[in-house]
Amino acid sequence: MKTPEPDSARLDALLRDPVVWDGPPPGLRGSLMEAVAAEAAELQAPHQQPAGARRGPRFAGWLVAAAVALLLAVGGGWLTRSDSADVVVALQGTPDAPTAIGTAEFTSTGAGMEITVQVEGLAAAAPGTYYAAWLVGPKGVVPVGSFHVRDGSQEPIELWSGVPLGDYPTLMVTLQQEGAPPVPSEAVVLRGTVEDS
Amino acid sequence: MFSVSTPAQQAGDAGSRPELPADVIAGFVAGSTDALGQIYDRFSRPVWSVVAKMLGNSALIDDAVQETFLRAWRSADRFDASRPLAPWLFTIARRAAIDALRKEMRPTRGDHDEPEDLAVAPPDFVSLWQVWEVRSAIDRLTSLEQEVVRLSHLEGLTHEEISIHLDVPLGTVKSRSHRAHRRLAALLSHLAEDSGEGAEYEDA
Repeated sequence: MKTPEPDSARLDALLRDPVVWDGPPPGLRGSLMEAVAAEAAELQAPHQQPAGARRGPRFAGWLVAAAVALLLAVGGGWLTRSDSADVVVALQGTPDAPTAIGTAEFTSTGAGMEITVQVEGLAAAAPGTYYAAWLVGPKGVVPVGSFHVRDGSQEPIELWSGVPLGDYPTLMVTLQQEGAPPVPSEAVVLRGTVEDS
Repeated sequence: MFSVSTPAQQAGDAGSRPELPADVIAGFVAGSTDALGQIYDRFSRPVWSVVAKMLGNSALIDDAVQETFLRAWRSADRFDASRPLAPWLFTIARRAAIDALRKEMRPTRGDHDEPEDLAVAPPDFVSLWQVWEVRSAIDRLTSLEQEVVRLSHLEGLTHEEISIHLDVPLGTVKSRSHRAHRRLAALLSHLAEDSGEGAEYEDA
């Protein structure tokens, strides 16, 4: 789309428009920085969320390790009732990703199962590859999403399932090649299973 | 991703300047609130101008401007630092204003003047971008140059009247006005190119 030429008349009209001369009130900067600080503080502090509430975009890495350690201490994946999730599952790394750990929170909604995954120690997927998450059970395998963690962030990874967790109790993460068939590869990097407590 | 590319920018026009130092942009992408503050200081006026042009209602403008920078901060880690910040911020500002408009939208009942009805269509994309550019160009003038231009165009004063109003010699007003308008013409020259390589917009 080409910008129309602003001839002198058009420029004069723009310079006569009060909006190009007005500006924000002095207090708006402070208001903005307060709002930003409040959001940043809320994202950093552990806190109780109402059921179904979405977490913020940033999460302290040490919380992942602590959560996994706790979950593993009680025997692998477990069924729990937290304020925000129906089920929390510990994800353990495999020989393909021995340093990887993570948690997966499953929250029931009217549209399916919301899955929030936190991972740590998982290498960035190289260009041309990506990580895929699957729910596995006696009835087969169902894809629930893909991600790459290339920016090194520890943001929660939001996935989604349309099948009941009881029929597909294992969450598995594999490393996939772009262009390959959309089925789990043999490169499994994380795995966790829901077990009745 | 919205982008604006003009021949002047591509050629590294001498009248242009880096939007902000690279380390400020990098800090912003990394989530630095100090960097956000610097970005606010640099872009709050053009953001305000665009939002005000769309909304008109001063109460809505404050919230929409703040929302613009909040949204920018929230999505900073997804900003491509190799691209110019201004078009990205402009897009966020325009969308924040549209969202504010939709919240306030009500059908015309016919029993009040049209300017009161916020459901009027906002200015077109190109006009809004010109508002942004003009405001940004004004920011590049000195305080005295800005005042002379403002009094001349917004208030409609003659050079003699400006001289009296500002209590500065008439010759000073004339020279400042001449210089200011030359600078504005240079800063906004990329909007005036008609070679077919004018500003190009790529909608996401």
